[in-house]
Formats: sequence, structure tokens, C-alpha cells
Amino acid sequence: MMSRRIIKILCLSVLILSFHSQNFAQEKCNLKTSIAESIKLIPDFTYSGSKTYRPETVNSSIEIIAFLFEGVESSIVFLKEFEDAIFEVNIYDKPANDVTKNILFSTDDIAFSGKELIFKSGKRRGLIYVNIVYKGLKYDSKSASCMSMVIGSKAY
Amino acid sequence: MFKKLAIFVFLGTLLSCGGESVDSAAIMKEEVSYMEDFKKNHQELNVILPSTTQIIEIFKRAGLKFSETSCAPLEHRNFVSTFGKSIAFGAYSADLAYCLINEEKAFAKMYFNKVYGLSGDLGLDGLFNNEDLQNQFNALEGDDAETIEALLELQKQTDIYLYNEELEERNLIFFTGARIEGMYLASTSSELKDKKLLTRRVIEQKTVLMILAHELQAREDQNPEIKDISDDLQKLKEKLSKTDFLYEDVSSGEVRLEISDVDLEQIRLEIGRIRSKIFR
Repeated sequence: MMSRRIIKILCLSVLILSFHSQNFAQEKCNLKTSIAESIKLIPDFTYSGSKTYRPETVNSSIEIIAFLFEGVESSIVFLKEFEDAIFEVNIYDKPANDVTKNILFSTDDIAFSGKELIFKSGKRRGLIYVNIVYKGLKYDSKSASCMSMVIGSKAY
Repeated sequence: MFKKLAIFVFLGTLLSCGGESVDSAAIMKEEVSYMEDFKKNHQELNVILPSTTQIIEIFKRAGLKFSETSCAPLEHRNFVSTFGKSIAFGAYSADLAYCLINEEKAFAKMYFNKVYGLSGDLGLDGLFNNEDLQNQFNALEGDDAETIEALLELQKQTDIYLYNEELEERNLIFFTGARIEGMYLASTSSELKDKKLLTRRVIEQKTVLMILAHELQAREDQNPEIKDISDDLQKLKEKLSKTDFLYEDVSSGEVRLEISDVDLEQIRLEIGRIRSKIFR
């Protein structure tokens, strides 16, 4: 009787552990899907590069630098793996005549609440800075938090 | 940190705008100071660099013509280390893009085979087992748009493959090889229809070289080959920083953005020296 109970507990532990590891595996963004979705969102979008962000704690952030060529129209598509995750996105550059940040785009006022976000940079050149802050989950769900940033251009 | 970065970007932009007097020594000082500060504060830098296809396409727009002799040697080379194979993979990828963009499909196939072979040596066999990629390259006889699609597919599938296999750090080495080869191809082109545009592209290398040198230095884990190439790229960036990109036309008195032939030759020699280390 006792050994049956032990076996049951062991089986249950294995199930719990496998569920946990599945959840953990989901935390890695599916980059292939993100790129495919980005191309669908912007039909003339040609892939240039990408970065994924997996925040570990609420309010953690990442700063990504993207290099844009002169005369090339670039776009950045941000895609959340799970819609209920809340991210704040700020994009800025540093103009030649100023040493302060020049905000180009910010979700400070309107939270990034949908699944995707598109930023069209126009024919900008040089470096742009993308700051992403993870603000937690909209609902008390078990969803993992992960976001892909896919950059592309209309160069060809 | 951002203040320093802003100063650097400001100075870089000032240089590229032309027509304004700049003090190279002051710029160098600012950049050295910026790099020291940058290294202290950024152990890890998240950067999205332009794709190999984009580099070649943009140089082509500056008048880069196809020259078979500029391409990397195809004969067997002993790429012993993973680093050596990785940097060669990047360089050959740039040659592949260069051939395709210039519609030299017979050469492109040879470089495709080289890239394919090295991917196997690097344990990236899975990359070319991808049906989408194979279909794209089987259609290389197609038109221009299709060849560009094939290149973009290669870039995309490489990124996805490295991401899925958690080998993303290799992308930096691939990119370094592609960048060196791209700069070499551009610097050896004898027919440049738009020198101003080429000069701007050369100036842009400074920012990219600075980021590359920093990223490589951060990874000196601690392979002497990485350190060597990182030092070389840093020196090249310093050389570019010291170069005066403003040309004064004596007859008209006009000052314009144009690299001198002497400076271009020096940069060409330096890039050639760095590149020769990949294929030695």
C-alpha cells in the first residue's frame, strides 16, 4: 500500500516537472514564426536582422542598438509571444546638434497591449536605440514573457 | 555613458555631413575616451548589425563593379579552428552575395558550394537541410529578384538556425568575416561612379568597426585569434578616424566630402592585410 503511494507521488512529481519544463521551453520565442509574421504584416519587408528578449523579472529591461543605412527605409516589428505580457518600447536617436535623446517612438502613454507593434523609421541613417521594459502580465496567467524584434528594410 | 555615446555619434555625423571644419585629434581623443567608458559600462552589447546582403547591395549602389580577382580564393585552405572556419564562412557568404548581386551566377554557385562545405565543417549541417533554402538556391537561374530572395533566405535561415541551436554568438564571427570581405571588395573596386557615396560608406565603417571590435573584445574567451582580429579592426577604425574625408577643390575653392586616392590606397592596404589573415 505504502509503495503504491510512493509510486503515485513519484509519477505525479514527474508530471509536474514535465509540465514545468514545457512551460520553460515556451519562454523561448519562436523566431521563425516571428519573422514570418513580420513579413505578413509588412508585405515589402525584407529581413535584415532580429533579436529576442526574454525578461526574467518585472521591470527588467534591455537596450538594443540597430544600425541603419542611409537612404534605406527600415521598419521594426515587435511581436509578443503571448498577448497578455506588457512591454514598454521606447525608440530614440541622438541628433547631430544635440547630446540628449530624441524620442522617435514611445509606448509610455499607450501601453503596448496588442500582439504586435510596427515602427517605420523612414530613411534615417546611423544608430537607433531601442529600449524595451517588461512590465509584467495583464492577467494573473501562467504565460511566459518573450518578445521578438525583427528589423527589415525596403532596400531592394 | 549615453552622453559619451551621443558625443561619438555627433562627431561621426559631423564628419559625414561635410563642409564643416573638424579636428581629427579631438575626435580621436573623444572616441578613445568614449570606448573606455563604453567598455566599463557595457559588458554585453545588444546590437542588430546590417545583413551581408545589405552591405553588398549598398556598396554596389556606390558603384562597386564585379571583379573576379577581388573575390576570396576558392582553392582548399586549412581552416583549422572553429574561429578560422567561422570567419571564412562569413567571408565566403559575402562573396556569394557579391556574385549574386552582380548576376555572376556561375561564380555564385562555386561560392555557394564553399559556404555549404564550411557549414558542414562547422556542424551546421541542419542549416542546409532546410527545404525553403534549398528551393531558393535551386532557382538561382531565375531573375534578379529571385537571387536576392535566395540571399535573404540564407541570412534568415542562418539566424533562425543559430538561435534555435543556441549558437547565436557565432553570428558575430560570421558577420566579422562578411564585413572584412565586404570592405575588401569595395576597396579594390576600380570603377566607382559616386565617390561621395563611397566616402560616406567608408565613414560608416567607423561605427560598425567600433561595435565589432568591442563585441569581439568582450568575447576574448580568450582566443588569441579573436584578440588578433579585434585589435586589427580597432586599428583600422583608428586609421579611419585619423583620415581627413574633406577634399578641397583648389580651382573652385569648394570643400566636399571625398576620400583622397592616397587615403583610399592606405585603407585598401590595411583591409587587405587583415583579410589575408582569413585565407592564409
